[in-house]
Amino acid sequence: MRLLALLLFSVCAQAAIVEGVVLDEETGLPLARTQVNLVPLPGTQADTTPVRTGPRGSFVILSVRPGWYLVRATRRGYAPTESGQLKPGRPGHAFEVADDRASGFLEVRMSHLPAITGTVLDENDIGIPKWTVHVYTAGKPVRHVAQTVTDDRGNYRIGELDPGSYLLRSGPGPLEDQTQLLATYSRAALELAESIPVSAHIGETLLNVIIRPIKGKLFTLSGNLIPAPGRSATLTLVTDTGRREVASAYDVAMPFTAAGVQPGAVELIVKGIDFQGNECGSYTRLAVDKDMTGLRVACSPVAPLTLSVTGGYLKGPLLLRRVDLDGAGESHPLLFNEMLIPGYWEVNVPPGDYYVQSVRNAGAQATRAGAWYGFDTGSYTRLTIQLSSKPGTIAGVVSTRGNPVAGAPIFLFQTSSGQTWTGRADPRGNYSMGGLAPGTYNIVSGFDMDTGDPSTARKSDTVSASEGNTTTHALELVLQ
Amino acid sequence: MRGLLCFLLLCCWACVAAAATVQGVIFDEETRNPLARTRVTLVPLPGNPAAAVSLLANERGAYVFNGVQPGWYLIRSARTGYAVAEYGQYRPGLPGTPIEVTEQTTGDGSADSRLIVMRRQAAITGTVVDDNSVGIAGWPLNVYTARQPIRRIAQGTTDDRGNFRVGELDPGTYIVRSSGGGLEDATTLVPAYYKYATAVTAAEPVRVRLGETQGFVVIHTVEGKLFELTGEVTPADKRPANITLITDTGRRLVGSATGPFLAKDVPPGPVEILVESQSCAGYQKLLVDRNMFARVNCLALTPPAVEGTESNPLIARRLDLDGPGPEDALVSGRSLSPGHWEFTVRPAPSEYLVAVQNEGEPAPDKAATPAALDGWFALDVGSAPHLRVTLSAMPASISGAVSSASKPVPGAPVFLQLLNPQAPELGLQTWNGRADAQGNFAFAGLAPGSYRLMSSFDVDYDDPLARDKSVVLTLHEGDAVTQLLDMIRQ
Repeated sequence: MRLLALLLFSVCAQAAIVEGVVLDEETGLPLARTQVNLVPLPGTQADTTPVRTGPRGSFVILSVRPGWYLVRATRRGYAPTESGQLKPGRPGHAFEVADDRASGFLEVRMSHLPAITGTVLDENDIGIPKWTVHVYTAGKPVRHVAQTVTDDRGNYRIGELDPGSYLLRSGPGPLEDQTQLLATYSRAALELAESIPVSAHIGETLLNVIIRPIKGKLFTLSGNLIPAPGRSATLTLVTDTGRREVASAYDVAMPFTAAGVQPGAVELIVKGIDFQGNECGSYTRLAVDKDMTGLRVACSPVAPLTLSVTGGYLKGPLLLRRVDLDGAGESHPLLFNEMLIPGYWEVNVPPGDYYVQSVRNAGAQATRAGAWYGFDTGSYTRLTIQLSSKPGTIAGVVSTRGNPVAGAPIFLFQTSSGQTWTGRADPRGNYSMGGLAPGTYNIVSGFDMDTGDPSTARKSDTVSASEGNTTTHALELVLQ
Repeated sequence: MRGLLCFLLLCCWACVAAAATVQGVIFDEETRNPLARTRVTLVPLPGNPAAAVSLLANERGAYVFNGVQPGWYLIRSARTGYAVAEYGQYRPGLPGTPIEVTEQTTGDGSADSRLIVMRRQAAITGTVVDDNSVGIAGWPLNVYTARQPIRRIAQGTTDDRGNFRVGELDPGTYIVRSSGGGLEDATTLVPAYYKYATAVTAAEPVRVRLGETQGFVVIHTVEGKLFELTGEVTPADKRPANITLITDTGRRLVGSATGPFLAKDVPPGPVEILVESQSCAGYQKLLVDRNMFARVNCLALTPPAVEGTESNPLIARRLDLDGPGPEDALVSGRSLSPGHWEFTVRPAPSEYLVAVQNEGEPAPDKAATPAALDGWFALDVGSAPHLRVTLSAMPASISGAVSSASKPVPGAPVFLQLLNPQAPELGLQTWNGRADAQGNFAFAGLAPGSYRLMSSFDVDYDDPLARDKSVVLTLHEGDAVTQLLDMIRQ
């Protein structure tokens, strides 16, 4: 018993306390039940410790091992926040926890994620109630990220957006007298090129984004849905303003009609079960500019995906997600013998001691967008991933006026793919960004960096990574 | 043949010559902007043989009725999100003034252009906040009528800041209540009324008027225990069935086949379990105050036997804890899922509805007579209902004339209300009628009881002034009362 007490004392003597409070930046009110993580810097021998704030927004983390840490808070509707941030959305400052001492009382102020509000107006400036409004990313690739419905006054609000540039667009549909409205970008544009993007910043609500829907003709698609004999299938129509199930069939062909289809790209996706009890499906992409009849869509057999990885071993499961006109679906780990319904898919390769040389499907090079590789697939998918076990590394020291900066945030951009990595220096200012493909990168360190700001790239250094080598690059902390 | 053609042409000419044009524009009261595509109806007054005609205003809010037969009419407009309006209203919400269409009515000049100004329905906005007054995002809330019977009539969800807006409300008094549920750290909140209450008796009602947005309705949520409801639907043969859990804050599916089911986060209070499948249905109501087990029998349904209403269909609406369902005429062979239902009949003027009773399952309580509520009779229905409708061939009636300064008032609005004997200030059932072109009015098919009667263009019917000046009549079976009414003016 005495031995146990001694042991406990010795453990406690080595451990410290980190405590603080999480507050709402705007109102100063405490944020109860917020997730708080104590994250060790590289080089600190500790695991991330998660806690939740109490009813008055306070948190206490006991038995913290000495070292350097960040406190990171996350909460629904708020931007992830780190203690010691210069501004909302910026990286926080790391702090040192010494033996047997409290680290001081931390105050973490969280800001709301951006929101956009506005009105969908008719030709007389009267708000149109219960009308769908869609939000798309303004940067390439343009993707549908959220949608809402106007209230009784035609007003809408879309919150919980990441900071960035967006396009707002009203959905298509009929008015009371069957006047048809086309999907229209804010303020009154049918074409993407004529749309006016809006910028949403953390903590801000962007007001009065007006959309004036334009009248036009919506079209009707009709044809037959053909299921496998003795089995069922469903047909889903997808546009860049949403999706709807238009038909289901069992055993025999079923005619379908989809009215009110906006002009432009349309996807017809069939999903069902084939005669062997496996998944079946098909994918048809159309450019609709008139009523279309006689369409035939069938539930065709789909072969299981085959995967070939060469040049290394994956450090985790591949993530897959389907991307249709209405946006990217939820990602999921690739399953054994998974059958991909035809269409456009993206795969994400987990990071490791390698880099991705190429991703191909049936010999065709996948399209890279950030960390995702996209490919079209039909009735079969033969995915080949070529890894290289000789990745490049960029490493060095971050300093300011000759002094190393503990826990300095590192931002690394690959110029060819647009992929971004973030990291932290260790307590002595050393950083190391590994697993890189050969090529040119921009790198910068600073506590007031906005990765979405073009001026960030101008403040960065250009560094080349080469296969199997470590490129040493000293970074001067950028002070705004 | 030529003679017949000449006769037809003459008739057509006579029709055109006698017909007139009624036209105007619909405006939004707040912005004064025209309201395109508004539904406009030309309603003939009693005694005018013309049929009601309806059209949609054009994109500039203008409407034109051509070929209108001479006579007296109301022009009524309706649009989603707005209160129904009539031409010539003293203010929105009050009855409009009828127009007389003559052969000379053309409406081609501004003098004859009938402008109708529409006012928005009411809305309630506010915030659902936690114990630190921070808004709770994505939280459901409910709006109930404040008057008895308290009924859930709308719902909403808070936005990313915990704010909500519930629009398209009729003017009146409401109770607003957040739903129960779990927070991020498994703290559970019980349903809470505006401002701080968990009991309806302590709820603060919110009064809204036409065109108003009543703001700052802040609901302070209350921590409390939610319960688990486990159960079994028998026979537990795994046949496809929807098992729905219903509370006064909404409904959700808790199972898709007969057999065991589990519902978590059930707030304390009354709960209904409804089982519906193609071959059977079941219902149970319980009062949840702890983790509980419920067994629901899914029984084969028999379409209700209905007696006593051969000429008029029985109209039914289901009434669950989360509010009334749609009204539907009960067609032969249609089954009713077990539970709580309301029934009515719209009899001919020569009859009135006395009662609707269930003489099947569940066994009727002979001591209790079902009470009529707004003309509806509430009944519990089991798997084999036997509904008996009692009509009386001796209804009461009221007729008379409306005058102002001893002159008859064509198209005067006449308001009749059946009074609640327990609370005379409250009405049980209301009728909005109109006098004909000579100022004469008539209400037939009335049940015995006390009625309030009045006529006014510019006073709200629930205004104390109107109440003081209205006429109260007690009618017995078969009474035919004549009553002269003086138009009430403010």
